[in-house]
Amino acid sequence: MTQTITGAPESRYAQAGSFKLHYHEGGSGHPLLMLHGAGPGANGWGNYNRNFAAFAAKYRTIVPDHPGFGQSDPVVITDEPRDVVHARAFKDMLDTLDIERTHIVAHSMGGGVALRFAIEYPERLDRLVLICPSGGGRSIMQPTPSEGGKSLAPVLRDPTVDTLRRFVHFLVYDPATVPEELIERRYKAMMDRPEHLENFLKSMSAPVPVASDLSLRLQEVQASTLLLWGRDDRFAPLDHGLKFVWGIPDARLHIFSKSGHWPQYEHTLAFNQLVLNFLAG
Amino acid sequence: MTTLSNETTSKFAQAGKLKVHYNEAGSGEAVILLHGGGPGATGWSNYFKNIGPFAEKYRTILMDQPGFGETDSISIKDEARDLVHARAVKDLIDSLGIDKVTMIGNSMGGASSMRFAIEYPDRINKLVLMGAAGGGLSIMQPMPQEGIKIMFGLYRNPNMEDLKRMIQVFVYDSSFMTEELIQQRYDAMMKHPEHLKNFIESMVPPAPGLTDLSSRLSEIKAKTLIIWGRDDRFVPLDHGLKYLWGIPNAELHVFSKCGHWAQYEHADEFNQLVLDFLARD
Repeated sequence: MTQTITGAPESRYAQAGSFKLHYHEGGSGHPLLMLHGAGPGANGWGNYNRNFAAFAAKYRTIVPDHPGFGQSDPVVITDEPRDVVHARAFKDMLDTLDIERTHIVAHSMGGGVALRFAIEYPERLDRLVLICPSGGGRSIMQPTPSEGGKSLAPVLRDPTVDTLRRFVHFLVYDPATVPEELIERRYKAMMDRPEHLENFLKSMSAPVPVASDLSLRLQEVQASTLLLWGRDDRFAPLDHGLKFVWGIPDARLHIFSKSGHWPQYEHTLAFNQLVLNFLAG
Repeated sequence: MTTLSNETTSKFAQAGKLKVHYNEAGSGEAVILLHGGGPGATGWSNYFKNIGPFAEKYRTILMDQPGFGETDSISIKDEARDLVHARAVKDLIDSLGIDKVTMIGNSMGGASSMRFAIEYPDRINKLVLMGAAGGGLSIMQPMPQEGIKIMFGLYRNPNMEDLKRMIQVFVYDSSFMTEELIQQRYDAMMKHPEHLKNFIESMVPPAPGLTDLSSRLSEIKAKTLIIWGRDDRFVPLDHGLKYLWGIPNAELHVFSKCGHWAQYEHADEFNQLVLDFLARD
C-alpha cells in the first residue's frame, strides 16, 4: 500500500437539524463517516487529508466539519453536553443524505461524539474506529487536565501563529514532522472563522461538558470497535485505551510507539492498513 | 493448498550439541515461531492454526525449544533458560544455512526471542511477541500469577485434573477445548517425564530461570509487534506496556476476550495482523 495525498474534493453542504454542515465526499460503496478532533482551526480535511484517498478507494467517504468548526454553522453550546449535540447533528446529517447505516472513524473529541452516537443510535452504526477518543472521564495514571489540553485555552484567547504552533506541537511525538506550512494553513483556517474560537470558549465555561464521561456506558456500545492510541499522547491518557478495551464488549486496542495524539498523521500507512482491514471485517 | 499436518512437516536438525525437532512449511524469508513453556508444549501444538497462512508467504519453522517436544532433553542449572534457547535458535539457523530470521515468540518463547534479538542483532529481521515472559516483576498484579502457580504445580505433579484447571485459565473461553484436545495435551505432557523434571530444575533457585530483560530492551534493534490478551493470567499486561516503552521501535496490540494464547484464540485476526506487520516497510 502506498500513500496518496489528493486535494480536497469540492465542498458540499447538508442540513442537519438546525445546523448546516460542511463536508467533503469521495468514493463509493458502503458509507464511512470520518469525524475530526477539536482544537482551534481543526476541520475534517485538515485532520484526514493523508488518509482520505486510501479510504475513498473503498468506501463512500464523508468527512464533515463538526458544528462550530470549519465551514459548518457556528454554535454556542450551553444546555447539553457537546457530544450529545454533535451526535444528534450527525444522525440528522445521515437522515438528510438518506444513509441508513455507516462505519465511523473518529478522532479525539470526534471519538467522544462517536461513542455517544454508538450508544444513542446503535441501529445507524456498523463498525467503529476510535482514535485516542475523549469520553473516558478521569485518568487514573496522569494528572488532568493534560499538558496538551491545557494548551487549548491560550490559543482560543490569544490566537496567534505562536500559540497555535505550541498547541500543534503537543499533538505529535516529533514536532520536526510538522512543517511550518501546515501551521500556516491551520492558522489561516482558524482566522477565517474567529467566531468559532469565541464560541468554543463560551461553551467551555458553560455548566455542561465538552465530552461526557461515558465510562459507565461502554457496555452499551454494540458495534465492533477498533481503538488506536499513541503511546506518547499528551491529550488523551493511554489508560483510557485500557479502560475502553475492558468496557466495550467487542474491542481491540492498537498502540503506536513514538506517536502522540495524531497517529493517522504520524503513522499514516500503518494506520490506513489497520483500519481498512478492520472495516473489511 | 493441501492441509498441513504435524507428521508431514516434521523434521530434525543438529543444532550445536542438540538434536532439534521442528515443523517446516513454505518458502521465502524465514520465520521461526517459538512456543510457550507449559508442560507438553510443542511448536505444532502452539501454532497449528497459524502455520498454514504463514507458509503461503514465508519459510515457516515451528521449533521445539530445548527440553520440549521431540527436541533433546536438556539440564540447565547455571545459565538462564532464555539464553540457552536463543543460542539453540542461532545454532539451528546456522545448521539450516539461514542468515536472518523473523522471530515470533509466545510466553517463554517470547523471552527466548527477545534474548535472541539482543544477542544476535545481525541475525534478526522483525520480532513479534505474544504475552512474552522476560519482563521481571509486574507493577500491577501480584506475582506469581494464577496461571503460573497452576503450571508449576502441574510440572511437579502432572495430572489430568490440574491440566484442565490450567487450560481453563490459559484462555479467555475454554469451552472450545474438547476432551480429545485435552487428552492429546495430557499424552504430550506424559510422553517426556524427563522434560518435566528438567524444567523445574532450570526454573527454581539456584538456577537463574528466565532473565528479567527490562533493562536491556533498548538493545532490541528489530522492529517489534507486541501482542497481548487483555485477560492474560500468565504474564501481566503491564509488561506489554513496559516493552512498548523500552523497545525503540514497537507497537502494542491488545485483544479483548483473550487470554495467554492470542494466536489460537483470535487466530484469523492474529494471522492478518502479523502478516501485515511483516510485509510493512
